[in-house]
Amino acid sequence: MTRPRYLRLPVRRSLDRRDVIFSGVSVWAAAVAGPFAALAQEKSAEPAAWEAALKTITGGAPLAGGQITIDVPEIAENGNVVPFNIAVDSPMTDSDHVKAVHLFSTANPQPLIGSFRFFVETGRAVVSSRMRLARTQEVVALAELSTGRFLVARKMIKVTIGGCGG
Amino acid sequence: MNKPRIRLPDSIKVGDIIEVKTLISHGMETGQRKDANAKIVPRDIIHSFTAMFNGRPVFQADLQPGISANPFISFQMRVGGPGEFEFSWVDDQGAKTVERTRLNVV
Repeated sequence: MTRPRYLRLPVRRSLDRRDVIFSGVSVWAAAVAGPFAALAQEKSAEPAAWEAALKTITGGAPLAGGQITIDVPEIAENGNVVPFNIAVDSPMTDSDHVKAVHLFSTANPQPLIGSFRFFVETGRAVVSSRMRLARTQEVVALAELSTGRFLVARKMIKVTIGGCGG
Repeated sequence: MNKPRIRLPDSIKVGDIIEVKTLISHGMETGQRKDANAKIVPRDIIHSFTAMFNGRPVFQADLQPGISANPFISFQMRVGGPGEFEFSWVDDQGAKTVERTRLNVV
């Protein structure tokens, strides 16, 4: 196997717009969020299926940005096979490590794509795989830390041909 | 399920962070698709993948239908020394595939 392009090391981001949205989801955030405005507005009505799924894991605990990166192609020509890489920057010690990373789709028939569990001895919290995406959407990665904190990262992916059989 | 493929880097040293790549053939039937007679094709996916090293878990994945067919899964690990990996995949039929790979250090 040659090393595919998407396996390149994720680039660390400083605080950005996504983090800001998660640090305080509000009407104000919706106003400044631009492309994310539609998603933010959904929150005022019924929570989306993926948000409900996420909440079953977090129990409504606050979400932080940073320390977690999700690497996906900007445009996926084939929604059946969309590569992803999720990396969490963590010391991976007994007192502070990543227990699990969960990946959510915001527009698939089933929001949860997969859950990946890590161990202190592993020393790293990095996972790569391939997912199906029904259509253009955002994906959301959630990291569950041993400290009780939760980290999120989200990425928009344009899907040319959907991956759920039409 | 066919014989899975495992890929480790060449010449691994103690203390290295390595990427462990795994690939297995499986249709990963989502349970959303309809056949020619408009009947739903029942779900049949690999729902669980576990990687053990020297008898201890180093990585575990719960997969959902949103994972692509022929699941490729890779993770990273810090190498503490030589040993043996045991990888296992379990699908909705209860079929379990186990693959063992030796990790040698230089």
